[in-house]
Amino acid sequence: MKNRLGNFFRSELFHNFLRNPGAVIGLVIVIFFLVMVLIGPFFTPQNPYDIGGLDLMDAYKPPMWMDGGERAFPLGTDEQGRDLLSAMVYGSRISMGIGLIVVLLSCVIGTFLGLVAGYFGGRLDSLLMRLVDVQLSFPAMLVALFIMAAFGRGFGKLVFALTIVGWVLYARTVRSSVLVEKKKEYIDAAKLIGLSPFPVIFRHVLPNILTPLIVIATIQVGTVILTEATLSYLGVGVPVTKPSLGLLVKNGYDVLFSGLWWSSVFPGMFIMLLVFGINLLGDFLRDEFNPRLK
Amino acid sequence: MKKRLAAVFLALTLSLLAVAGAVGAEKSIVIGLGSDALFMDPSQQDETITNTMGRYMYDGLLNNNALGLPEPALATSWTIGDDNLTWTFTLRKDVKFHDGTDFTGEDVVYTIDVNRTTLNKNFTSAIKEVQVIDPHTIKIITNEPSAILLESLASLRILPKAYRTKIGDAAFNLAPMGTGPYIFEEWVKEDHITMKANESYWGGAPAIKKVTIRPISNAATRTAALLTGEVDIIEDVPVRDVDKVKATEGIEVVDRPSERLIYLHVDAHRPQGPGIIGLDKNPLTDLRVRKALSLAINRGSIVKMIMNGNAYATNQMVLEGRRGYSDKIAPPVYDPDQAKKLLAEAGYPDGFKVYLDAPNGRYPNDGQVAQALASQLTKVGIQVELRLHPKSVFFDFVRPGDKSSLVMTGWSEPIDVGEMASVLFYTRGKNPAKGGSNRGHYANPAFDDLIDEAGGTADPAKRGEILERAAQMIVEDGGIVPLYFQQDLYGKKKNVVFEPRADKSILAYEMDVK
Repeated sequence: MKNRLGNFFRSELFHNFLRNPGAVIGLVIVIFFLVMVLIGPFFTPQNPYDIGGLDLMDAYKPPMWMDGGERAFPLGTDEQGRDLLSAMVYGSRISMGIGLIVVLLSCVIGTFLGLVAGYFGGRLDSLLMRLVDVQLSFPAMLVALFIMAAFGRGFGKLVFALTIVGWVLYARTVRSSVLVEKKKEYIDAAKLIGLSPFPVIFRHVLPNILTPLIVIATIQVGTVILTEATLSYLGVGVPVTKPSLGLLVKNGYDVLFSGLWWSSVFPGMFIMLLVFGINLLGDFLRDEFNPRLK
Repeated sequence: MKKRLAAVFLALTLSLLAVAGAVGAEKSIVIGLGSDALFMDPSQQDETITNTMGRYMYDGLLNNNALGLPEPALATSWTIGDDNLTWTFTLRKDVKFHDGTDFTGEDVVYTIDVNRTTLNKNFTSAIKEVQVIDPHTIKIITNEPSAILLESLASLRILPKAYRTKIGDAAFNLAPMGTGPYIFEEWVKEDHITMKANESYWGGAPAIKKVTIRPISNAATRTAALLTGEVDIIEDVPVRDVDKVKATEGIEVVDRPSERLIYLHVDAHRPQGPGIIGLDKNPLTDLRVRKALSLAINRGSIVKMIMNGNAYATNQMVLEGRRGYSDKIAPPVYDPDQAKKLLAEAGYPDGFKVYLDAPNGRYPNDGQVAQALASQLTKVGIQVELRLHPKSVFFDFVRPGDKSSLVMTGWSEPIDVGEMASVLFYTRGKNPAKGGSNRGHYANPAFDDLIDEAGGTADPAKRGEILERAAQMIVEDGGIVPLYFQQDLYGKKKNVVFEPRADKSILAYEMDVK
């Protein structure tokens, strides 16, 4: 174990990482958000999802450095009297949670279907890929909006809708990688020693196509977070009593032109920062793993 | 060269003067409304903008004045027979429809017959028969003594019998015509309606000669249209934009208490409430729990923080001046400690769970108000699970009353508590014409008796007394928890002369442009 870690620190990947300031910044941002959503809720001044703990008379308080601001609400409050900082910590938790779960689910489903389609080919392949084609011909947002409008608000439904939208990308990528890999000699060798198809797929093909998957999945976390924010912004995402970052921006946007800028600007900056960090990291991984760029 | 320039300059000046002159002679106005009219044929549906258009192009036997009280229009006077059932109306002579045909009693009979078959039939349900005595005298016989006949007639717009039967009702809706102060010109759905003045209107020619109605459903866009000068007056200024609009040069905001009450409909009588979570009984059947409901709500904070001060906290069902407003109903009290105590006395020291069903996007800031209610009720132990519905599905969801026990909704009552209560609070199933929208299944025989008694009372003052008792009874019984009356907010250019009306119509006939 110690040896492996040592290998990692001596590896080219780690070496390049340290020389790429963008990647370092990205990782720092992502770690900051991870730590915040894991332990932040223990430290926030308020539980913004406990509606009984909110007081309407605290609504629209400005950040504490402005006139009328209070120490109890460092970044001000929203229209229900939620402490904005607490709401943003909880909101990030939902945004990141949905991002990670959706990417995990759609990656697993998409990869499995892509492997099967690519390896076996034939009718199954045609069927799955036409399905992918059809779905890719609709904008992802439209499909997600349609599903959410039909089933209503909720975390489970959001995850479902975003997974339905997300799996196609993995299926398509994995299938094309499989088509390349399965012509190689080591696959023939595996077949010759009498392995049945699924062991070949999972033990031999899968490990060799992981790199593009890691790159896509990383960047997709950011995309999914943005899609969730957009859906919530449009009013079909999370329940109103448990706002995510997107819904906080929406609530704040309604009063943006009335001079109450903080309740939309701060959550908006949070989304931007988080997606920015993830994309920096994703870009670095893509550059590293893409042989053509070397 | 110089000469030519001078000539051009002169021509320009002259044409500018001509334009200015034309503007001075021909006053016009552009009005921005929240939605398009559903119909131009006013007999089709009782809907705010349709009713407004009805006031532009048509008249009733009576027209409501700015306070919402009926005044003589196409009928100049009337008498009631000794039986309290037969009304004789004298009609205005010298009134012509826009195509030049005379208005007569036949048109009244026709109008009432048409309205009996449409969504407006509630306005004709009191009428048994209409007889034409001579072209300008008619008799209306009611089923029972009625105190609201005049109000109902004021809601009916007189249709031109000859013209409408000739072209058919679908074509009539697209080429409407009446006796009103404005003549229809063009209707491009969801874009604009244009009308010109009826110079031979019986009430005198309108001051504003050309009217354009623009439906602009997005409130922010509507405000922007006013601020850029694209429209002269708008309705429903968003409460958070009021300060910004007020601060704009040449533009001002006018307001008026709205007839629309926002209230809670409470499931007070069913032993098992469909909206109660995890209990096989309905805590809301206990009067103490219903009282706690009202005590737990801080109406003042909702008005101040969410409505930005543009609403009126209330415990009444109708505005002051309407029949059924009662001085005996105490103003609302906010006392969460007392609410907790009452809940404990009723056997729920730890509270209970209930769904609150509310619309999102139907009324100004309704979703936020519902959230605030959820928060305030949860504080005293009535743990609210909030179900917000888009406006397109909300009414279908709550109307049968089989899925909810606590509903936040609004009602705009143009007549009195009797009309409101017979739709919303009369025991369901007892009378097919009543209780159709009783979302909380309120069932109080004593209350029903009062509503029935008011229905058979012809004397408005006496009807008022009965309705005051009825309103007091249901508010004190907690079948309804009134929250606040909205405020109608209009933004207009300062040169527009305008007084807000109870029915929320912006009527160019009553306005002027300076």
